Amino acid sequence: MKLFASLLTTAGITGVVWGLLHIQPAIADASTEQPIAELSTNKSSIDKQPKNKSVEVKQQATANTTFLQGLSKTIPLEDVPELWVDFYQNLEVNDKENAQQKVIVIYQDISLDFSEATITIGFPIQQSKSNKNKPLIKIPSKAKGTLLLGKGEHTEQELAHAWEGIAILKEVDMVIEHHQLNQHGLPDSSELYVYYKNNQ
Amino acid sequence: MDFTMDSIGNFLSQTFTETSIILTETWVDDNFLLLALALFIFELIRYAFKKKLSWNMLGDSATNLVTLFFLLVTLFFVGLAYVGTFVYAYENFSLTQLPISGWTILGCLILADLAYYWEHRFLHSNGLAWGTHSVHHSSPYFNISVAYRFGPLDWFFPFFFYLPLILLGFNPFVVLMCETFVQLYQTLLHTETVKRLPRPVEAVFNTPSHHRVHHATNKQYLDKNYAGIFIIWDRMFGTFAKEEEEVRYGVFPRINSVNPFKVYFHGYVKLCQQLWHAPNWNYRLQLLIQPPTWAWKRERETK
Repeated sequence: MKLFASLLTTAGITGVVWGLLHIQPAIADASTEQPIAELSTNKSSIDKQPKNKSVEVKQQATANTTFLQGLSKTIPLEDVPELWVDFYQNLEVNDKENAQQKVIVIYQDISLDFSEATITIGFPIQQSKSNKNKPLIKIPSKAKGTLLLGKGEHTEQELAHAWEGIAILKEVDMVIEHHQLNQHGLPDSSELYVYYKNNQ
Repeated sequence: MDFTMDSIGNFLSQTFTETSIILTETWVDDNFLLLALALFIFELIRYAFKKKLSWNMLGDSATNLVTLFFLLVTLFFVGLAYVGTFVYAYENFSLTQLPISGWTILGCLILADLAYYWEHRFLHSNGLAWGTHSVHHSSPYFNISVAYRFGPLDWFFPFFFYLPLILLGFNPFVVLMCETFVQLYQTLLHTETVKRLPRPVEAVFNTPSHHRVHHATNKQYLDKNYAGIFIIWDRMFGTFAKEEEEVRYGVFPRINSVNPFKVYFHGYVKLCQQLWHAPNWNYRLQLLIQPPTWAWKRERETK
């Protein structure tokens, strides 16, 4: 093969491999993840947040946008298991009969040393008249985030380890854990995304 | 079998952190050196049994390891800039940022191997690059230690061939890991111990037989078999040659020395001499951009 033809072939092979990598399962999963909105047909009532904690919540009015409504606290990251306990206690009291398929955990205002953050655990919901005035957090699409840990059964250690994949040179906007629940309402499979400020 | 397929499937769909990539590369690097040393000792024993072991071969092998030391010292000074530039390009100029998954690593390995093919072909295609790469080819022997025989700018040229992968969105540490894997794979090819591997392997992968051809000075083997891992690139681009006639190793003219400094710098010393004695500036330019055989032919014409 002549040099020019060889170079063209090389460009073609590179394009094909690169293109295929864009439809690999992890990315494909992320780019088609908007249906998260459709999954959340339920109206969670876990909205009783502690009154003494200030949580920055972005109110959005877009009809099809998915929001997170749940329990929110600014706590050290090592106290997250306790927040889960609180979350399940609230769930038992308020929403026992509403079977959800997903729980989402959003970490915002993460301290520079990653020791503390404002953490919200809740269910994805659509905005409606009933929750219009309640504090909701807009859930960005997975396609806008960077995948840290692909969908699958992961231990807490693996989830914690995945945080090491955050690019330290970038400013983190939020980290989101998506948990798929099993029939008992417990996390079955999880995935982790990071979102950088200014779409870095 | 199912277990193996499951493991492969799990690996491909798994995502990894930058840290795990760096740790993996470090672990592979460290352990591979031990493996290479063990194989080298085995080769020496084999040569001893065949009564082919000589002081010159031992000296040549020691020199190879000294050139490795020279490279490591150079990398100590330029390594951070090399990685830093990759990271900067990735953060600021990459078209996208691919997730660090098993699929991405596999894709990156294939493309890194393709990039290596072109880098290697480039090193043979012009006097400037041949000045460094000729060091690797200058040994009259062919054993594992030759894989560690480096020239002074062996760190420099690869940068330009792997940078496009960064710009395509591959994480810099994944690219560096794949670059290392391509290099390490070839280390094992520098041996006369393995004659031929099964035909399907020889058809797809670079093997000791294919790489012996690459190191040959036999006319029909010149500028052939540039591949790193996959020999299919050579087959595809018309630079493949099969090992048939017995291979003679080295470069012309032979350097006949085991002095590490002479071995390490002889390529550029020779190029500088040629540039100094060149009849005109056009000839000097040609010395830099033409294949090394160009200068050799001109010299023969003038004699």
